[in-house]
Amino acid sequence: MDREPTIGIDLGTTNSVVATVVDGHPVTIPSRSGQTLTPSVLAFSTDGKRLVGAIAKRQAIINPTRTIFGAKRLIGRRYGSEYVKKLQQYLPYRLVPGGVNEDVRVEIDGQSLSIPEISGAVLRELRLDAEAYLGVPVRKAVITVPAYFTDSQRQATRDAGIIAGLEVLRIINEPTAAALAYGVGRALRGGKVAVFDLGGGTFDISILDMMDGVYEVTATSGDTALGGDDFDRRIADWMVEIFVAEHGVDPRADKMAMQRLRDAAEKAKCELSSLQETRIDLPFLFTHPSTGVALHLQLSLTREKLEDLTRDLVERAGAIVERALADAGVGPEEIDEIALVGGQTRMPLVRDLVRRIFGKEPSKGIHPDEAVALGAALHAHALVHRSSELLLLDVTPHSLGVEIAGGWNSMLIERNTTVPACASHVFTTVRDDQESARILVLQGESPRAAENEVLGELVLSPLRRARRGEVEIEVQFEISADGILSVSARDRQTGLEQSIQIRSFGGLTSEELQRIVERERGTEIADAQTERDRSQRETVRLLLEKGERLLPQAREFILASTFGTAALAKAEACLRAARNWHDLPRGSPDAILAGLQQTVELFEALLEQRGIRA
Amino acid sequence: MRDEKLRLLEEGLRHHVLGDEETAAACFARILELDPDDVRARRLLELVRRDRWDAAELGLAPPAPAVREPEPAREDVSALFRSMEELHQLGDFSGSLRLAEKILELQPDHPVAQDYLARSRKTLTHFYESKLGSTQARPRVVLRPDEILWLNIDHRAGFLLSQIDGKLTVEDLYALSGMSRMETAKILAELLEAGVIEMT
Repeated sequence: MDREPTIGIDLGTTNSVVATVVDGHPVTIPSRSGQTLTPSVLAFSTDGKRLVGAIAKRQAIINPTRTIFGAKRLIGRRYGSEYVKKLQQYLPYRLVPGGVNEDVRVEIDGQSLSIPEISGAVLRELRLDAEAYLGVPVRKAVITVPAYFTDSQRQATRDAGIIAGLEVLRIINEPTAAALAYGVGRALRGGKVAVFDLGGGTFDISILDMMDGVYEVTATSGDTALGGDDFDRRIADWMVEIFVAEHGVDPRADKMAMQRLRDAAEKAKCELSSLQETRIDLPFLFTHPSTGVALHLQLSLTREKLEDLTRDLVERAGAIVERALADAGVGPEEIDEIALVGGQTRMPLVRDLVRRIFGKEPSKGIHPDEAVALGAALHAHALVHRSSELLLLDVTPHSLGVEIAGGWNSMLIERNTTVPACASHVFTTVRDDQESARILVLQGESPRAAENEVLGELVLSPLRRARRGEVEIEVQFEISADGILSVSARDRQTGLEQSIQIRSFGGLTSEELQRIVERERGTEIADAQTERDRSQRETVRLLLEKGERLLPQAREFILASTFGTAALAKAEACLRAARNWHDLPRGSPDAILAGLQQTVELFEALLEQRGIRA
Repeated sequence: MRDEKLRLLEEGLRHHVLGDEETAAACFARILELDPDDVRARRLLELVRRDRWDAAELGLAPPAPAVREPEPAREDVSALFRSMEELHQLGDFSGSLRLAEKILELQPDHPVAQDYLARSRKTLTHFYESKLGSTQARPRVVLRPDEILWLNIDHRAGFLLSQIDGKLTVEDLYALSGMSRMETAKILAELLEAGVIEMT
């Protein structure tokens, strides 16, 4: 294994995956419970226990107001935005404004949680999985985000990584990572690649240009409200219809029933990717409110029926792909490779759609769920180990410009421009004897300045006195490979210059971030201690049970042996001390454990001498 | 006769709380046979009969207009209270718990009932957990799916059973069940006792 471990993380809307590079090969890291996918879900049980991942997902429907899913949809967004207002209608948990920028936060039991904290909890879980797998502390990571994420969203994701105890080497685009994973070890050395990513909650289509190991996202599009969850919902609704027809009662009133229906729907959907038919058995699903009889749901679902139920969803994705290709001015025949990403692409109907649109088979060899994380792991490895074989070129997800007279947006760097990038433009004054010039830096695609996001501003002053149009100001934009934007403005005649560096703001101030990081570190230490205590208590319990079980026979033999009563009294005292500690743990159990182990060993040896198996 | 009436009253209340309205009604009717002027027994008889009707019509009748509940009679609470204490002393914590809940329905801020409720819950949780062994044990379903269908369990036990996969610990099940720790432990202990699950 490599000296300094690195990991790549696909932080998904629905599920997340962590991967690393072992002996030069990217591999996914299973969770401590053995799963490759970790649901991106954080929950607080009714007794306040923090649940992350699979266990949080399994109680999501029965505990909706205290279960946070889809945090990725909220990361780096303002509370007052139209997007957040619309989303709130569909979320069972409560959103509130917070921080200096009124970024969106989640409120549970009166406590406000920032979105980076929520995503940070998922990332932390993945880091702990990686540490358990690799057996060493893990810090360095590359995290992926959708290609269309804004600077704020990227920065907030970076903050989430820091909260999770990670050093975020780079934030890279998901399609880039996927293409990287598909390109490794195969003859994918050049041409255009379409990354078709149908995950749990979102659909993204990206077009990449690849040239001698250089990857560049040239276009991206998608639907943030289309994903595998919609397919599950269709199946669950169909199951409800059948149940109502059969029993005359609607099980949706019961949260436990709904949880089981959704879980069963997802399971059946996955099975139908390889089978033609599957059984759904949900015994004791719902208790009839009048008769008190527990009712079952038992049925079969065929692949054909599943396709009938979800065909329109697949067609919706198809329409988006066709539009994206048209927008990019690329014909489907020009696409050399199609990389499938996201669990939903395992559905045969989705693969048929891809074949129909592109006229060729999608690439094989990589598990769609794992592709993004594997690519991120490769990139992290390359960054730390200075591999020159891999070079990723990311693009600006949005156009960058400045506000000009009349409230218009003059774009200096177009969206999808490869970074690092540099652009400049000369502007002139608009009034006679204008004393200063205010340069408002904008991000977005609208020609109207007010409809774009303001990243920052700088003021060039004092300007020399001159008629309007005579003072020429050169504005220069420069974006580093890390996505940091530097803007400078210079009076071309006088050389007067002002500049600013715009670092993205993810919603948390540095003080807030520091506070959260320290708190999380404290929590992690406390959790580790709790786990150690629990483990010791369990060891004491098992030894105690054994000791108490062996005691009557051992007593008999000891009393009849040369050990005498002193040895027996000592052994009994050890058992008593252990029993007391187990019932009311106080202080370190080290001495108790040692005494208990000696006692049990003594009993075992004694009984063994008498030919009795302990 | 007074002792017999008191015994019947407490027995009737206990059956009422346990949901056995028929036996409860029989107890109160018997009191009226002994003493036709017993106003409390008459009122309780009406109450259990009304409850029986309500249960039978559940889901069929249109929602009734909100009616102000009559104030609980002090002697009803007293009788329940005595039974609660008695059952607790006898070690019947389930019965004591139900009576405490009933008292708190009538008088939500009854401090002693709250105390009995908390103590009964704690004792019962310990009791069920002791049957389960370690909270870090991982339950596993022993029966085949077709055998499970023959069980006599409700949807809550069905839910819990559907979550048991041999990987989740008892502690995990507490966290995801959506029920109280005591309820979850009780169902698990019952499933264990019935041989539906085993601990690994």
